[in-house]
Amino acid sequence: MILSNTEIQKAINEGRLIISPEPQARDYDTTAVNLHLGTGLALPKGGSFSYDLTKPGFATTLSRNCEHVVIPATGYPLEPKNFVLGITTERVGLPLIPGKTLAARIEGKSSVARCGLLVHFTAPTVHAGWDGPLALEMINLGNADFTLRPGMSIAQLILEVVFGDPTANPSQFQGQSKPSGT
Amino acid sequence: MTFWLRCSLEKGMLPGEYAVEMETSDAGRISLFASEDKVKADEKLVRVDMLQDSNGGGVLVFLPSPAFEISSRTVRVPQGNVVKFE
Repeated sequence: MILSNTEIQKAINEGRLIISPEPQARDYDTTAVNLHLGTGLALPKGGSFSYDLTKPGFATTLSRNCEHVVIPATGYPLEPKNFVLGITTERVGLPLIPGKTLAARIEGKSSVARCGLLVHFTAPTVHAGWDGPLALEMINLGNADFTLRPGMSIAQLILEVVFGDPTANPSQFQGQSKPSGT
Repeated sequence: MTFWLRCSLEKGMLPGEYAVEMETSDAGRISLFASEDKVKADEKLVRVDMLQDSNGGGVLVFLPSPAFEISSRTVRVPQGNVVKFE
């Protein structure tokens, strides 16, 4: 069940949802709240290597093979077919509270989508228990540059009620083939 | 009580995050990205949740994010690499 804007505000007030800094009134749509682009971008470099997730230290490899850019106030022109990583200004927290836990999905905005910009393309889910800013996997599929500006509304967060109480301790599943214990 | 795991750290891809590498009980190495509030950079530690005490094969911990190499947040690590703080 998707939360309405009034329920999102209520969840923030009750501490079931953390969005910091807290959204302004203009950030709310009827069933979503806007998130904003932070100042840092990571530009993955190309090369003669291939990504192999099984190679030890892959996170370090990813970090070393990217250029770090601070978006100037004048904006960063993301060229067509280019891929960058960004991060939201907001920290999002979804605490595990029995009977009241929320999960979320980050989604694009139609205004940005009309220009051909994808702000995430495979990993929209914000799992219950998450606490931190959200990474944005952005690619310009349009035919013209897209200017990324710090603080711009770049994505929207959809909040959903979690059915059942998730556990933060998955050890209960050790040795089992399904979460149900079968 | 909080639990911290010995690791090596480098700046991550994005502001406010670190690339973290740690050893597993089977002498493998895994890595993940963790936000700066989940690490003690000076002490080269990353915060974890303890799931299961040692049974001779290391301790089972819950990582702050999934490790790339195993696609999981749950991993067994050497007991000696876990540090407790009251």
